[in-house]
Amino acid sequence: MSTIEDRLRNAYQSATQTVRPESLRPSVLPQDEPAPPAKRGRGRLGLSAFRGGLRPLAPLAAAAAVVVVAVAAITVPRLFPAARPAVSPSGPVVGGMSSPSPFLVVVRPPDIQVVAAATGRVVAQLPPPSARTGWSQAAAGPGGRQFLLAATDQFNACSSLQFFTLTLSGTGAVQGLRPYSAPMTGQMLGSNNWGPGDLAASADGSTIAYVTTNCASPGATQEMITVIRHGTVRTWTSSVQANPTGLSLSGNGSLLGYADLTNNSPATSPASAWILRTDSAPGPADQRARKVFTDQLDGGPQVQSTVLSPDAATMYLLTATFGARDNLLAYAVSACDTATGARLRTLHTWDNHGYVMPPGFTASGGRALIWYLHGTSVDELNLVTSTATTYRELRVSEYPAIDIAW
Amino acid sequence: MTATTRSQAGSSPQPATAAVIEELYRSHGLGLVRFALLLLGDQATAEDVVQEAFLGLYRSWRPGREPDDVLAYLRTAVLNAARTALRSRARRQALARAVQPDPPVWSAEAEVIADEDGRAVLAAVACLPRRQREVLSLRYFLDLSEKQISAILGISRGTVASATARGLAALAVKLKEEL
Repeated sequence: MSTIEDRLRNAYQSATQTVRPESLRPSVLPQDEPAPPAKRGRGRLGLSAFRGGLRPLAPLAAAAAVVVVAVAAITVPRLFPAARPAVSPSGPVVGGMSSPSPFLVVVRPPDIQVVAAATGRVVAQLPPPSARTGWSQAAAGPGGRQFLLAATDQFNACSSLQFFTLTLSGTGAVQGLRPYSAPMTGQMLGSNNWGPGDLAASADGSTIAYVTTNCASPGATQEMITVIRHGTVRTWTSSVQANPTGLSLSGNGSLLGYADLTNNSPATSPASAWILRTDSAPGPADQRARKVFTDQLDGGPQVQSTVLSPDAATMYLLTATFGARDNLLAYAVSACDTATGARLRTLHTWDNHGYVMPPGFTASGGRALIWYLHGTSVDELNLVTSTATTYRELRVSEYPAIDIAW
Repeated sequence: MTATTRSQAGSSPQPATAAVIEELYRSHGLGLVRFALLLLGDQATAEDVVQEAFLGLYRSWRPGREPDDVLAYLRTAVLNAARTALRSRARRQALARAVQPDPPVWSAEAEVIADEDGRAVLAAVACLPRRQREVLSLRYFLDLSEKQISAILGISRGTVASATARGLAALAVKLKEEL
C-alpha cells in the first residue's frame, strides 16, 4: 500500500471516530407511521401521519446584492426542430394549460427511465451518453413527446453541461436523441451543484432556461440564469447569496418564473419568487425581474419552488411553514396572482412524510408532480380544479429519482 | 379551497417491519453516519441523510430481502441524500439552521480531529471532484471492492479504478507526496 493510501485510511478513521455511538439519535422511525405502502395495487396512497422528531428546518437567509457579470445576447440554433403552439391543440385549455404528457421522464443517474403516466410502468431506459457523464436533469418540451435532457461530467466538478433533445414515439420508445450545443460561457458551470428546478423548457419549444454556477472563481457563489429563446442567448446574474431555482417558463417562453432561495445563515432576510421577461436586457436578475412573493418569516409560508402557468397569469408556489422552534409544520401548494402578487388559494397541504429533504415539484398540462428523493411513488396534483385534487401512485422505482419531467 | 392530504384509512403500524429496520439501524447506523460524515463534514447533516435513507428503506420494505442488498441500498441512499444535501439550495431548504452550521470536521476551526495530518488529508480530499471523493471513501473507509463500489455508484469497474487512481494521484499532488 502506498503512503498516501495509509494516510487516507488513517485520516478517515480519525475523522469518523469523532462520531460516538452514544451521540447518535436513538431511533429513525416515526412511532405512529402507517404501514409502508408496500407492493400493492395502484391507487391513492395512505397519508403518513408522521409527526416525529425530525431536525428542525430553519427559516431563511439574507440576500446581499453583489452583481458582477453581464453577458451580451448571442444567437444559437433552434433547440427543438418543430416548435409547436404554446398549448397543445389536443388538450382542454384552462389557464393556458393543456393535457399533460402521457410519459414521465425520470432521471435516475446515471440512467433515464421513461415511465407511462397512466400505469407507472417503465417503457424505456436510456443509458448515459458516455462513460464519463450521467444524466442529471430533464425538462418537458413541446407536444408531450419531446424533452430536453442535461448530462454532467461525473469527474469534473467544474465542467460544461451537455444538452440533448429526446423524442419519444407514441408508445414511449426512444425515437431520437441528439446533442444540442448550447452556448457555454467559459467555465461558468458547476455540475456538482446542479439539481431539480435548474432546467426548464417552454411548451412551444422556443425557449429553454437553466441555472449555472460560477465555479471558475474560488469562493464565488454567484449563480447565473441563462435563457435561449428563438436562438438568442441572454444571461442574468444573481447576487452572491442568491440561489435561483424552481425555473419554469410560460407557454411561449416570454416569461420565466423562479424562486430565489438565498443561501446564507442565520436567517435574516426572506426568500422570494420572481418573474423575468426573457427579452429583458442581460444584467442583474434582481434588477430586471419582478418580485411576486416574499417569505413571511414569522410563521407564514416560505417558498421552496415555483411553477408558472403557461399563460403566466398564475404562479404556483411550493411553500413550507415552520413552528416557533423552526420545526417544519407542513408543505403547501398555493396559487399566486402574478399581476398583483395576491395569494389566490391553497390547493394542497401535507406534512413532510418524515423525509428530511424537501420534495421535488414540477408540472405539465395543469398537473403538478410532487416526489421525494427516497419516496417510492409520485403524487399528482391538479393545479386547475382545486376541488378535484387527485393523487395517483406512480411507482417509479425503489431507488431515488433526482428529477422528473412531465 | 384547501385540499386535505391523503386518506389514512386502512393504515396501521407494522411492528415487525419497524423492528427489522430498527435492528438494521442498530447494526449499520453508526457506520453509515460515519460514512456520511466523510461526504458531508458534519455529524448533524450526516445523521439527517442516514435517517432519510432508513426512512426510505422502511417505506419501500419488502420481506425476504438479502442482507447484502439491504446494505447496498442503504449505502446508495446515503450517497444520494448526501449529494442532495451538498447542493447549496438543498442545504438551505432542508438543512439550514437558525444558527451557522457546524464547520467541516477536517477544518482547523472544528478542532474535532486531533490528528493534524488527518485534517490536512481530509481537507485535500474535500477539494476533489465528487465522484472521486465518493469512490475513495467507499474504498478506503468502508473497504469495499471495486465490484461493490461499481454496483453502489452505478458505474463500471473500470470507472471505479480510474476514479480511484485519479483521486489518489490528485491527493498526492495536493499533499506534495509521491505515490
